[in-house]
Order: sequence, then structure tokens, then C-alpha cells
Amino acid sequence: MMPAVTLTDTTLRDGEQRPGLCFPPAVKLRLMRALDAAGVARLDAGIPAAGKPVKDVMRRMMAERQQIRISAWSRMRLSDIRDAMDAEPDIIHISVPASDRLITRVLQEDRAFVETTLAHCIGLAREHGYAVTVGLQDASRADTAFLLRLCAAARALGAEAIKLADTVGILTPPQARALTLAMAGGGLPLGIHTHNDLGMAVPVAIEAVRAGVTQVDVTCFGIGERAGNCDLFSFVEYGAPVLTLSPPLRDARALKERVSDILYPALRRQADGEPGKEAD
Amino acid sequence: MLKRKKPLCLPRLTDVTLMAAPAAHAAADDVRRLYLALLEIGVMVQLPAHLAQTLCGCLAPERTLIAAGGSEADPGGFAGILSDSCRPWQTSVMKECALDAQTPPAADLCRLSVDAGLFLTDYEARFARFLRRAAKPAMLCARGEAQLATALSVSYLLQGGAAAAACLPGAGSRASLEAMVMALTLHGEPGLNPHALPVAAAAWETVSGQSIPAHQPVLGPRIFDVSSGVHVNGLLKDAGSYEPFSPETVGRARRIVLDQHSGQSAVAARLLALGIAADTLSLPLLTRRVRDRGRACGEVSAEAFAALVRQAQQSVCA
Repeated sequence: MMPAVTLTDTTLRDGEQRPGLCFPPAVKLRLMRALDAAGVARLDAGIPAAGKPVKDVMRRMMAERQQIRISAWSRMRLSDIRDAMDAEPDIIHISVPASDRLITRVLQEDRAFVETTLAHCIGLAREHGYAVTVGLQDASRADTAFLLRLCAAARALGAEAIKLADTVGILTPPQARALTLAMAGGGLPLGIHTHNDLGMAVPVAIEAVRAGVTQVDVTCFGIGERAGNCDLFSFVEYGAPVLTLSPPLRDARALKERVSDILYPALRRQADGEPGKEAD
Repeated sequence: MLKRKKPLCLPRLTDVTLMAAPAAHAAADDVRRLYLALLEIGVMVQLPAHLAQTLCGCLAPERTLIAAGGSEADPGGFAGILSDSCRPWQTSVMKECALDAQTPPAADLCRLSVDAGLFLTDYEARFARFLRRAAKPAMLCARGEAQLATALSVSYLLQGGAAAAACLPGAGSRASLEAMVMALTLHGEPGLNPHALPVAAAAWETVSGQSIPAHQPVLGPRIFDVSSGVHVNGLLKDAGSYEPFSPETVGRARRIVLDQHSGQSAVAARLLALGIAADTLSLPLLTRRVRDRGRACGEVSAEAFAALVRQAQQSVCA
């Protein structure tokens, strides 16, 4: 029997990173309400370090939500963790550069720095009573042994889950299975965050679930940077014969229509490439 | 008239785009352009028999499968073609084969038609059993949801399958050719030329009368747009940090978009492109204004950015 899968909708964070796309605060709140009512478990609601408008929206979400857990995305920086705490979310999600490529060339640091800084960041968030999840950026190009070290550290410090991010969307289903199985010994529930660069974001996520992942990141209609992310509706539809959602999604078809109505104006404006036109 | 029998040595990807109905009504020159562009990618190309006549004169015999049945639903066997006379040199060698068949048919190439829903089963074990039994090479033809068909087809080839069929741009509920080309290229498959994909995509747009969607994997014209501060900063330090392959690999260019997500790296890069030194103004202030503008408008246009730069320069002077 396959374990139940929990959905995290990241339309308002990774989805909105589609260049030129901008969801006004009212749209974000409407989307949160729709996902909440349908039974989506978590909402990756934005990056508080981006500024006050994001924090304000997240605080309103926290005040209005029924069951959905609101997660604040944070870089592995103490200042970002403080910004995330300003938004008073349910969860602080810390995204950690995990491949040597990102660590040495982008962060221009080493693995020891990553381990130390991650410990400080988790420590700060936990000290203030926040639930913490940890995302391993570029996990598909990382050394599995190092991923397991990060996972062990996160577990020891009280993180509640690890998310494997296929940051550049290169995983094939067999690789997703192998990565999941390799990480199964980490002792924390596993999540997967896929990108659609090779047109396989949905099947890669399904395969990861079949191998033991219990949390899946999705976006409405698969929107996101480059070729987008794992589409919520395709994931639910294609995976229906083999997946059990927890909590179950109430009326996915109605949700799709509702979300389409909510997001359409902003998506249309981005698709039309109308820079400079005022948003609703 | 049969001339000779050759052992088969096929590229592992077979494009079936021209088997789709729109090609039947397209102009011969457009079909020829698409056919030649597909060959340039390094794949096998399958054609209905009537198009083989249309293309006579530019056919590459070793790289072309002629569907004797003539349609996507009923491809029948296949035949190679002599380019000088359009006479077949090999016929009726492709036969349908079931994945779980105990005895694969006697044919030079089996055609393994599967529903993409197979992905939701223990497909790897079934492929493995099939490949152990198969005496002849088999071409997987997966139909159904394109993402599942692509995933199945890539997995089959990575398991050692001989060939798989795909279609630009995943049309007809087929595996997506461009996604498979890139997936296999990233796995070191020799003989594929992703640089030829944009020409093929443009030819497909002409033949089909449809456009490649803006965010279509591999070929979408806007997939190399980037605005996120973290990602622009990363890409400026290491071009491979936040992209699976370079835009140039598929004939595209990266475009740094200014919007609510932009960071100082993106703003500085845009200033540099305009020949403006970042130290002539307050970069944090300008970045904040770009973000504010992006929150209100989405993408910040070149004109709007120029106005923000002027304001920032005036603030410094004041």
C-alpha cells in the first residue's frame, strides 16, 4: 500500500516566479481560500524577505485560513529567517544550496559553511517555536552522501521534513526513484519539488511518490519559471489510479475551474507580454 | 521492387510528426523543410507512403521509415526508399508485438504499442522482461498523456530499449520529441543534434498552423526568461546553475526580465547593458523601485526602467 501524499501548492512562490507574472494581494487571498476549501494541505505563500507586501499578505492568510498550513520560503540566511518570522507563518521552509555546483560557484562557500549556517537557521526558527522544513536545492545534481548529512543535521535540529528539489528539471523517473530510495534512510519524511524542463515534472513526482516520497510540491496549471513546475491538476488526474491524497482533494474539477477564474487575468497579462500595464 | 535486405541499424529516436493528419494538407515545400530539419536532429523519420512520393528526391533512405499502412492509426510495415528511384529496398518488416508476448514476432523491427497509463504499473520490470525475451529490436510507441508517454519512452530507452517513437511537440498524445532529444542528450546519447530543434519547430508551426506554446519544455520561446533575484545572481556567476542546458543549445537566448522578483544583480546587469555605471546612482534604491513597479505592472518595460533610472540619477544629484 502506497503511503498517502500531502500536497504543497507553490503557485504563489515558485509559480509566481514566472517572469513578468504578478498576482495582486486580493488574488493571492482568493487562491488561498480556494485551495484551503478544497483540502490542499500546505501553501508555499511567498518569500517574506522580498518585503512588507508579502509579509502583509501572509499575515492575512494566517488570520483567514481554515485548515491549510501557510509556509514561508526562506533562503539559508538568518536575516531571511527573521523576515519569515515577521510573517508569522505555520512553517518556515529553508532552502539550502545542496549541490557542490551551487555551493562553490554561486554561494562561493564550502560544504562546512552550509552545514553550519543551516544549523544556525534551523536553530533560530525552532527557538521561536516555528515548524521547519528544509529544501535541498539542486538535489538532482548533488552528492547523495552530503544530502544525507544535511538530512541528519536537519532531523537532529527538529526539522519536520526534507524536500528534494530537482531545481533544473533534469530528473527522469528512474533517477527520481533512485534518489528517493537513497534518501529513505535519512529519517525524515521526504518531499519532492520538480520542474518541467524535460516535460516530465508530473511523472517524475509520481515516480518519487511510488518510491516513498510523501509530500509533493505543485502549482496550479504547472506555472513557474522556465517550463514550469508539477501541475496540481495533472498530478491528481494522472496519478489517481495509484495515489492517495491526504487530506483528499475535494472536487478537483471544481477547484480547477475556480482557480482558473482567479488566476486568469494575471496569467493573460503575462502571456500577452504587456509590460507596464497596471494590474487589477 | 525489392533490391536487397540490410541489417537494421537505426537511430534510437523515431519521429512520427509527419504521420499526423495536418501534414497531409500542407504544402510540399513546407513538408520537405520539416522532414529535412527532423533528419538534421539525428532521428529516424517515419512517413506515410503518400508523403514519400512528395519527398522523392530528398529522401534519406537509411533514415526513413515508410509506413505501409499509410496512417498514424495503421502504420503497417515499413520500407526504406532508394532516393534515386523511390523504389523500396525493404518491406514489411515491422510487426506489432505485445509487451507481455511470450514469443515476439519474426520481424526486423517490432512495434510495441502501449498506452501511456503503463507508466502507473511496474513498467520497468515489464520492460526488463520484454527486453530479455526480445530477439529483435522493438520500437516503443506510447500514446496517451504526453508527459507520461515521454516518461515511459525515456525510461524504455535508458533501460536499453532499441527505439522509441516521438512527435513534435508531443502532439497527438505522443511522447515529446524535443524533450526526449534533450533527456537523451543529457544522458550522453550520441548522434543527436539539439541545435536543429528550433528549425524543426518553426517548420512544424508552418505545417501544422499552430504555435509552440511560450513555456513549452525545451522549445518554448519564453523558457529562458529569468527574473528571480537569486537565479539571475546565480546565472551571472555560473551559467549552468539554474538552467538544465544553455539556451544556445536549442537556439534560444536568455532574457533577464525586470519585475517584482528582481534583485540588484539583475538591475546592475541591465544598467551595464545600457552603458550606465551602477555607481552613478543608488542601486538598492533603484532595485526597490523596480520591484515596486513590478508589483504593480508585472514586467517592467524598457521605457519604465529608463524613467526609474533617470529618477534615481536625479535623487543622487539632488
